[in-house]
Amino acid sequence: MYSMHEHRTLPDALLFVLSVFFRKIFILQLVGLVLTYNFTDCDFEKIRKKYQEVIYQALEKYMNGIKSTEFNNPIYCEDPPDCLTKIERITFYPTHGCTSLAKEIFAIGTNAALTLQCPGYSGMQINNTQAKKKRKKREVTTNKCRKQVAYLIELWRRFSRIS
Amino acid sequence: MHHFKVYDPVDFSAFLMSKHYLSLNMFIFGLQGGSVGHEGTDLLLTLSCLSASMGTVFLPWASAALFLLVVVSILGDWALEGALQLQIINFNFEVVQVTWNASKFSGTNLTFLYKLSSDKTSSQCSNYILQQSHTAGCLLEAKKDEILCFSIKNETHLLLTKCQWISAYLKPSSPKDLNFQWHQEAITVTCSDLPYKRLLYEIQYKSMFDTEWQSKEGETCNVTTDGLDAEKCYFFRARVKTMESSYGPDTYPSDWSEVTHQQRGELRDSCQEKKLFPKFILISGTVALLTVFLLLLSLWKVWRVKKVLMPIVPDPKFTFPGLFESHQGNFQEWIKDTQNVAHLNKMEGAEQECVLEEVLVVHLVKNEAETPIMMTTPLCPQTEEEEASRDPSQFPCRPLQGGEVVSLGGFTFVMSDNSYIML
Repeated sequence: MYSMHEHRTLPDALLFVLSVFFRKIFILQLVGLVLTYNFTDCDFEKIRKKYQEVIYQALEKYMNGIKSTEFNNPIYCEDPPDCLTKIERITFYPTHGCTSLAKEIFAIGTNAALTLQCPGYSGMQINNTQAKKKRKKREVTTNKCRKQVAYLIELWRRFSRIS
Repeated sequence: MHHFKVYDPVDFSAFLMSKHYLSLNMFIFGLQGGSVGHEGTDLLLTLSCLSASMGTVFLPWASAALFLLVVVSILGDWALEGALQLQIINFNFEVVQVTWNASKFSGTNLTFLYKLSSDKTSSQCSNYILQQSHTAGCLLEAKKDEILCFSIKNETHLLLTKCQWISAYLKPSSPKDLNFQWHQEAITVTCSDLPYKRLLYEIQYKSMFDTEWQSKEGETCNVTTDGLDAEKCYFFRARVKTMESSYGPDTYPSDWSEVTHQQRGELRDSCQEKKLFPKFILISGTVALLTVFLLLLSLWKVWRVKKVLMPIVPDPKFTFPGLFESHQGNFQEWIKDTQNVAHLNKMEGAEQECVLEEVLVVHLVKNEAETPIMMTTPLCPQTEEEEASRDPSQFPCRPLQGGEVVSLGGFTFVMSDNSYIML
């Protein structure tokens, strides 16, 4: 015999499960915010050269003639470690509306530069199978991704001026 | 049988948490992907979070409408920026100049509000640039590499909002006090480096004979150029540019430094252009005169040769006016008409006596007191008959030498070119 109470238990159970699930994700995100690599000990000069020789051209090619200044509100970084922290986050962590930057050429160059010049930095493992599955989506460069890359360009320029 | 209360406190809080976690989660994404505690917050992302969270409470169409409103406002910003013809120049990280086209909003004074990264609050411009009594720009101090956020508004509406690094519009100051060091065929140009990095110092040079400048760049103001001739005089100038990979494409090169002149390792006021000029004129003038002289000489030589080969035949019509026009070349008629002289008739077969003729030869004399010398010398007969009939005992005759024979009153005169008869 089921009463009205019993009819309401299923949505409540679902809500309970989802809330636990989202709670864990929330906590993980908070942890992610706190536990990031410290780029203080990196060789900034060599990273800057790598940017000038490889990463800069790849970023410009991605933008395909669109100026980064057309996207308002650049991101500020105080010093070279702060700039690298933000560069790493934008490059390798997906955001709402743009999830495929990690597989671009500039991202591969960034990963290589950070891995080589930052002691203890393990680098990002880019999943090739996922790349194949998401190939169709990646071929379409969304405006959201261009905005992210515009942020990256400004952060890299700031980094090169102060390093 | 277990019963779950619908409004169990734990379940209810979980319910609330799940509903609002969506917006919180997206806000965290915004923190990760956008700025951190800075005015550079992603408006779209934040409002998308807001609209997403609203979508869980209000109707979906309301959130969509809000999102579209944001997109339209951002697009409007871009269009307005073009209409205002906004220009930003960062003068050597000392002063930032922001100017706009005031004529688009004639009659109104636009207000400029700004905030730098290091400022806590926004400020209104305290140093406006005026054009026809209306605000057309703002000068503000900005001594560090930071982000400038500003807004321009009229009396009623916010027209434009923009945030950019001021380094994106840098114009470095011009290099000063250039130093030159010669070493054989190379010269090193040095000057003081500017206090910020990633610049290119460009040195241009040319000799007196070059039409275009040669260029050499370096990342510091220590640029060496080789392959120069120290004996030649060279012009030098310098300027500073930014690296596009560090500052972007919208910067401005500095103004050129003053042009300096170098020769034999010494600084010169000029490259001897003034001394060269008169010498060039002198040589050119001499060559021109010689050329003209030779041309005239050759022409004169040609004229003399021509005169020898083809002498000019004098036209008698000018010497004897009316001879051809009135008398058809009949000289005797002309003489008769003009000189009133009787004809000297030819007598055929008649003996011609050797007549003692007084030949009045009048010499051209200088003084009027001198009297003409009269010589009475008979003329020699001109024909063989005359000679045969001549008396040899008579005075030796004077041969008839050229000239015309004029008979006057029974007297016959032989006229030369220089003689004349006075009656």
